[in-house]
Amino acid sequence: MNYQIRLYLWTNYVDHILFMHLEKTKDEFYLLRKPSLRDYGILRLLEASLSSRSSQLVYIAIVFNFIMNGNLISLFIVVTVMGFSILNNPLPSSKFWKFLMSYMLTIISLKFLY
Amino acid sequence: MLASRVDYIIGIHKFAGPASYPRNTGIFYGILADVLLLMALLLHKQYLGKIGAWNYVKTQGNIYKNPSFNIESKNIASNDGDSRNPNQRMDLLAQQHHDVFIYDQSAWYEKAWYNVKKFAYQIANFYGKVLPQYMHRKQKNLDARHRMGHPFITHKFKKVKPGKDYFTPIFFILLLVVVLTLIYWKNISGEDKAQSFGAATLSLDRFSAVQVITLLMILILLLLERMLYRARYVDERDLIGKYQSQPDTYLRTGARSFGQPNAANG
Repeated sequence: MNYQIRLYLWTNYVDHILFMHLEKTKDEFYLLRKPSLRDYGILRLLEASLSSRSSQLVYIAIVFNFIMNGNLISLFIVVTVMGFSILNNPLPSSKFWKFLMSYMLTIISLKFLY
Repeated sequence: MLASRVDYIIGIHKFAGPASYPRNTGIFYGILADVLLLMALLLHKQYLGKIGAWNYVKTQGNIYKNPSFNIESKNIASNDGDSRNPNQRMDLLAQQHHDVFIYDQSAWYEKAWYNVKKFAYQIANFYGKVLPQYMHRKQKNLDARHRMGHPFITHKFKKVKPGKDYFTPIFFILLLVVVLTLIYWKNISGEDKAQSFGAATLSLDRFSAVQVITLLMILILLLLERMLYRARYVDERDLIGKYQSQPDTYLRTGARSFGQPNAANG
């Protein structure tokens, strides 16, 4: 059962690039090691699958935010994401995510202050 | 009363005290959704940092500059010869040869028949231009030297041809619908929100449920349109995921794509 869950997560959800790492050989060389399922436990894989789907989680959180607070501030985020970030190929730049984070921090602190 | 409150329309309002509605919700439930979104954003930042996309990936502003979407101009006559690849140059030569030696020296009924065929071909191709035509990435390695029927191939084998991109008109029409739905809702439905708020309803939302559902549906339409335009083919790579490395099983099946170097083994 444990193995089945791990295999399912490994094949469907986990981004394998998260587990890529360099390994020191006997000759003091570093070689790129390919990840394999047997080295990782179920909790580690759950964490990695959550992390691998983080972009979807962000989009879900944005829609949830708009449902909870239906106002202009949340509308701005939804419009930004739908009009800009989804159009970016292959993924939106880190500048966009930085902007969104600073925006959210500003909004939260404004809500605290008011 | 609540409908005319600017702080509720903007979104920054009191969560406790006599001015709050519902009364004394508390700051925790007030900013819960915002904090969840911020946490999701931080998780995403951590993920991007781990895979190296946070610092080391620079994306192009225009998607057509990205190699997978870099489509060569279909109108080869407007380009000069130096920017063409050999196939396109041969295409141009063939076209000039046809214009000078075949078309000009043929009889009037042959010219008429040629133009009729060209017109029919254009009409038949119109739907091909509007709808996406998905070529599989693995094309046959045709030897152009031995094919006399269509000796010159202008497209590259590994490229797929998307349909025409109607994003801008679709986006602005839907934006118009959004504006009409949000601002002129009273004119559309005859429902007076200000009246119903006065009548002690429990609804806190600025927009009614139907408005929010409409908005979400419009956003889903936008998404679907983009998805259909982008998702051009389905092959074995999709089972593994977009940004993932290639696990052992992928290499063992011999599913290496056409023309890709063997460096993936290392």
